[in-house]
Amino acid sequence: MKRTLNKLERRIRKAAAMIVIGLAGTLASLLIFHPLSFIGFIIVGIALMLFANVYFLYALIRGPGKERAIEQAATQEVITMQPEEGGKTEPEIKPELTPEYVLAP
Amino acid sequence: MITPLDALIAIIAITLAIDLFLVFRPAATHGSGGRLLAFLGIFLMPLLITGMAFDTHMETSKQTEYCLSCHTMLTHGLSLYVDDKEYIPAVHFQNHRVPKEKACFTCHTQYTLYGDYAAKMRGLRHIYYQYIGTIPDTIKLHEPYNNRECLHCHEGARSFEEQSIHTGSPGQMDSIKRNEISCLSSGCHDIAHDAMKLDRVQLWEPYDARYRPAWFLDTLARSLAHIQPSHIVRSPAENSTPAASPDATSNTESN
Repeated sequence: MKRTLNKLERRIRKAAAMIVIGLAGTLASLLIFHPLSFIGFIIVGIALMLFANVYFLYALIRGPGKERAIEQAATQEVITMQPEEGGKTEPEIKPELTPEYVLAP
Repeated sequence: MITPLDALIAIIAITLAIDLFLVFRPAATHGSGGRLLAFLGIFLMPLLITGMAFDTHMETSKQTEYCLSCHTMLTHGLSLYVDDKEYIPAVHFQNHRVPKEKACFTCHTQYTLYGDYAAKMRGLRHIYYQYIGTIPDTIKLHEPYNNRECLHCHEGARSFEEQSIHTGSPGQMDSIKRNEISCLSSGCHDIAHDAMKLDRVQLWEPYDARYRPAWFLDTLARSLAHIQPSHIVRSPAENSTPAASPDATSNTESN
């Protein structure tokens, strides 16, 4: 089964893609001896890479998003639903999930 | 031998590989190893590359050929070959008082904190004029030339300190050092590039091919076709031994 990417991974992919473009621009600017190559480096290289850096930090701060929280909550519920010694099931933590948070099978 | 540029290109290639891997396999960041890879490839190494590439570009932009890659500046470059010791830039360039590969930048930077960056910011304006704006008919300095740039090399030099014209009157040397008397505009060393009058002066053509860069020959051939061959003074060494130094010309600095 193919696992869908959470928000953190999607943001990391976007940041990596921006870095790839920025690096390609930087590499081209280094190999071309022309006054405009410096400008190209500033506009494409520096701008994209710094933006990708900030976006990466933002992604780390925001975390994996709702999908990951649901995954964790579901896992936690499964653990707490294990039958106890007396055979009685007493869920300790029961996160309240709104319908939009319910994962598709 | 590995140059800094080679090292930088190698680092860029490694970072590109890491980032391409992250683009196609972002799920790899699920584990701690993947997260470390992402931190290296997206944060740490791009920052390092940005710094190194900026420094490389700064060094490249200090080269004489870089400054003269704009057609407008070719006459200023050619003025470095004027066969007249009154031309201050020419005397400095021909006698290796300034590094040949950084001839423009050595005199046109500011010897202050962040002076290099200030010079490059002015350079960005030049690029704007070259490609988007209008190039002025007469190219002038942004501000009067500061003695600080001359004194960066000459201050403390015996040939400068003992020159009678510099110490002729009491307090003159102090006035020069305080920039109250300008080296260039006080009637002493007042001929700089004078690029508009190059068709009236003789040019020196170095004997050694290493000191006849491509831009010099191109400019001679294309940009200043009105300069007669008789205006070009070839080094005396051309007719004698080939091992002569380019310094051995009639154009030597007096101070």
